[in-house]
Amino acid sequence: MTDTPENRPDDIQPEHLQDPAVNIAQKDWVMTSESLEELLLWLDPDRDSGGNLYEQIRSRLIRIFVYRGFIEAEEMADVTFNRVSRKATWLRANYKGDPFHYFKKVADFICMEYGKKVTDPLPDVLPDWKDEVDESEPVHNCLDRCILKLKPQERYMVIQYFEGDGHTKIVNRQKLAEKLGITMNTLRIRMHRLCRVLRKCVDDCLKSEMELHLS
Amino acid sequence: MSQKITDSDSIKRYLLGELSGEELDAVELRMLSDADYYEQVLIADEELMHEFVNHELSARDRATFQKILLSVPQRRQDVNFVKAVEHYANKNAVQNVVPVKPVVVRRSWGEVVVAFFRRPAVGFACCIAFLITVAPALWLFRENRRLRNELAQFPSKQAALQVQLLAEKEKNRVLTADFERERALSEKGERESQQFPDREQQIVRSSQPAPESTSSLVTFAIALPGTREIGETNKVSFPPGAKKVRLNIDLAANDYKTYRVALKRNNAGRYVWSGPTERVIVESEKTTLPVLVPTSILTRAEYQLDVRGIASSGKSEPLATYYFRVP
Repeated sequence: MTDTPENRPDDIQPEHLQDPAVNIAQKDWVMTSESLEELLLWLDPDRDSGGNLYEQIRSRLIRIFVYRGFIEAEEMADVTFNRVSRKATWLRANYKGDPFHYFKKVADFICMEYGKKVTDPLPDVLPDWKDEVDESEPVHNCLDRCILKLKPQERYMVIQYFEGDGHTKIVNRQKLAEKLGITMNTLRIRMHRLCRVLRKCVDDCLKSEMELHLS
Repeated sequence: MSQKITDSDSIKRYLLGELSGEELDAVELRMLSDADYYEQVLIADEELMHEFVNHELSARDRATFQKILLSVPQRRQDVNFVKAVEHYANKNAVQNVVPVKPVVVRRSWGEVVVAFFRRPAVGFACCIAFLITVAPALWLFRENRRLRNELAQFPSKQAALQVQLLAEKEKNRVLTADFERERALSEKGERESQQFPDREQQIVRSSQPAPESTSSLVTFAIALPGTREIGETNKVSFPPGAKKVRLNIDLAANDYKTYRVALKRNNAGRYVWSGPTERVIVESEKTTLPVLVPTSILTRAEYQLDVRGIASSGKSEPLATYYFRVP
């Protein structure tokens, strides 16, 4: 990134470091349809591609915030986008370089802001991890249902890939890769994508279970 | 390879929260900008969670990871999902492996076969084998089918030929009958001609056109004016193949040795055709003057036929006028 002064507009700095008058205006500021349009066009001259890139960056930012240990990851991602879209017109006209660097910089500032907000630090002693499996938990019921939606071969792959432990597991995976005629790394990627489909299904299922429970 | 190792090492350290400063920035920036790298991070994260669930992490890593996992609700959901998957796989391992396994084995064979045929040498050999065996077989098959078709059409062709043969025979019979009739007429004419002196016959013969073929001659009788009803006109029609039309004119008397006729079309001023007549035929008080008119003259119109008698002095005298119509 060319981290030049012109690429660092003042108002992306942490709010506690800025003029309070400016901060108030910025806190009240919400993304408008015009600023969103500007943002998408800055991301890509083709609006649809810009929309796809928007979704991509947002999901990755959420993951980054989660890995940094922030509970409000989604909110932080939205604040990041608000902050960037406020400058979208200026960015389209002046910014040189790819948008990822800019988002990263803004996300860093947002982390600093939210880091300051944490009043109760995490306790050193956390509740211990329970190894026992409670099959009455909704996640098991949802997983059973979602796995049944997979093709037989995919179901077989899930079982073969995660079955056993230690050396047995490694051997199972090697056999599976041989049967499918693929490398272990390809198998890892394929399993990850399969699990992502499963996870989406389980999340949707849990959400509908929760809504049913609340109603 | 070393790059991959470095990547996986730095990703693991990132996920355990051990990176800071530039290293942290580099990993997160690549996560944002590089889709493959981002997927690698997600895979490494999943694997860490599986190792955590299965107690495969070192004590130190486990403690660090546990702190991260349990502090964020989303991470707790992640690890709960992984735990549920591990539980499902181990619970269903025995009963599911057997029925599904053959499916995978069958595909594997398919892949082996496909891989075999994808070899360039095998592909070339297959092409040669195809050219040597299949192409001639296809040609033979096509020829065989063509011959069968021809054989199947043979009876119908034979039947058509038989029908044609019968038609030709019938035509031949009709022509023979016509020939016989014409020959009879000819003999009759010769007998009549013997009633006149030789000289007269020579004059008449020299003034008459050459005999016409029977098939191209049509004969019509044209009556004297007043012998038919008023307003009725003689109609002369002939088939398309006819070359000449014989008009048998009823004469009141046979006062001249020779006659000549001339034809006008639609009351026009000039004649469109003139010519000699045939010899006068006298039968039971009826005198008929035959005239042969070429059909090429007779288009669709009203015609006026003037008859003149040629006296022995050579002078011609008008005798009568006849009318007919070609429809």
